[in-house]
Amino acid sequence: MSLARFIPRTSALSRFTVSRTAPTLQRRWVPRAMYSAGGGLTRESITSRILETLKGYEKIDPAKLTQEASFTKDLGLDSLDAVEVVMAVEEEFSIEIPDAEADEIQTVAQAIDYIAKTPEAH
Amino acid sequence: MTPPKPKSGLQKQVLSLYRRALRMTGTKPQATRPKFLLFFRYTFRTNAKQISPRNVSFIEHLIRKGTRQIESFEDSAVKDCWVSEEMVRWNEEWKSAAQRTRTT
Repeated sequence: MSLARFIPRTSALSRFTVSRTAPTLQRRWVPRAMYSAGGGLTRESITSRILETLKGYEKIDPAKLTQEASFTKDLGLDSLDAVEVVMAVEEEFSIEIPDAEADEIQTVAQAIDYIAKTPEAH
Repeated sequence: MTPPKPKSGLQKQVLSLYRRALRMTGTKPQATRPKFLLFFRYTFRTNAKQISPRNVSFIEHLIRKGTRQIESFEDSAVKDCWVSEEMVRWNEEWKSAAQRTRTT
């Protein structure tokens, strides 16, 4: 991610307000994951991000959601729901879990373990 | 914790197809993504509800049919998806059912 993406915009702006451009650029917040941040994820941050992601799924009752919860037994999800939930976790950490391994993930703890041992996750 | 029941090959195929469909949904424009999602949720869930898991040859037929359909949807020229009123109604029911399980 470089400043290059701003260049067309700045030049367009500078035609009208040259003096304002610099502060506008500084104030503009660009949401993005800090991919360049070094080091792996801590288990606490993985856990909280996974729990947060799972809360977003319509069928999951936040009250029943714990680290040990099983998708089918405790959260009452069926196998199609489980696929959606694992996909949501994939998106959160920008990875793609192969089918065989994704099928194995049946509990919240297993999802946390998988992310913890996957270096590509961020 | 007791290990979950192992999945049958057929079940794995269906889940893998569902996964592929959802992955494809992510590549579509943000505006039409919910429609694709609804289409796949509706199709997979109504079929799963109506068809007996023993009706293997029919499920195999649906897997082949679905694979072909998803292949055509994966084309980047496909940007929108048609959603019937029936599907919208189903979605409302599905969501309210999910809400009920949350509150109880």
